[in-house]
Amino acid sequence: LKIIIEELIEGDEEQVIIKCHQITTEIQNLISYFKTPDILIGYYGKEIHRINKIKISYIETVDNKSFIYCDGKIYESKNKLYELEELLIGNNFLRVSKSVIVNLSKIKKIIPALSGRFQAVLMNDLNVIISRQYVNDLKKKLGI
Amino acid sequence: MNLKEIFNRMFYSFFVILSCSLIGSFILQLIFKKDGVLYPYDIIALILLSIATSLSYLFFYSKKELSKIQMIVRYIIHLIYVSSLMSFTAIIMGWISRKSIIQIIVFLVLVMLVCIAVITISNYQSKKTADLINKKLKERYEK
Repeated sequence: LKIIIEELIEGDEEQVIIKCHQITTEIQNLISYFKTPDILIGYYGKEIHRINKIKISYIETVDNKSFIYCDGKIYESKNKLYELEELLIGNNFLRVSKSVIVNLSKIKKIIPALSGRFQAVLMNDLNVIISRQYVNDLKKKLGI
Repeated sequence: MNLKEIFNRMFYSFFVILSCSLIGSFILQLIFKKDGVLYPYDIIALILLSIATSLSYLFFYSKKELSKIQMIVRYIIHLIYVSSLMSFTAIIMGWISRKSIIQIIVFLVLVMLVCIAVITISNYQSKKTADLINKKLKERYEK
């Protein structure tokens, strides 16, 4: 893949041009990456934080509340899990169970759990269960 | 597990259980009834038994994600159900004698071996999938 970066003169609009034979999953992911914002809003007590998506390990829903886990801190989000899923689509994020969205780049390894499920061990040594029904989505995302 | 997952698993398990049961019947006859014959109704009974055993996956139905302990408890209930069902059918069908403790023990050991075979095959497949996913994750994120 050839990458060309041109420096613009002041006043010109920044743009990304993709030249390809066909739109593959990777290119689609790239398009979604440029289309979606990099920041999510999270609440830590009364503080409002702008959270960079790259720093998020996973997002979990507990008792209808969404929590964003990143860098040892847990932020609450006012969005529902499906809304966050839409915001994160195309990035490295994937829904891995009814209540969890995980950042694939934060997975250290996957180990089999009981009954066709898998356990994702994250870089911070936290564990997330991957439901059997979402394993195919994970395989698809990784091109298996 | 949701119902779709359970039906998939039941379908897959039916064939594994049936194959293993046929092998188990062969071993049982080899030990206790060397001149025994497996009649068509025995095969039908084995098919029905495999269906009844596969249905036991309904024990794993849950709308919520089961924890590891909940899963182990359901596995134990599943094993008790399967061994009771198999022993009962074997006695009714005359495959084993109710009076012979050795026959019952050997039969239960064979049932356990079938269960272990099903779990081992399933674990092996999961391990293969996990290795493949780990390889792809490594390729994608460790450049």
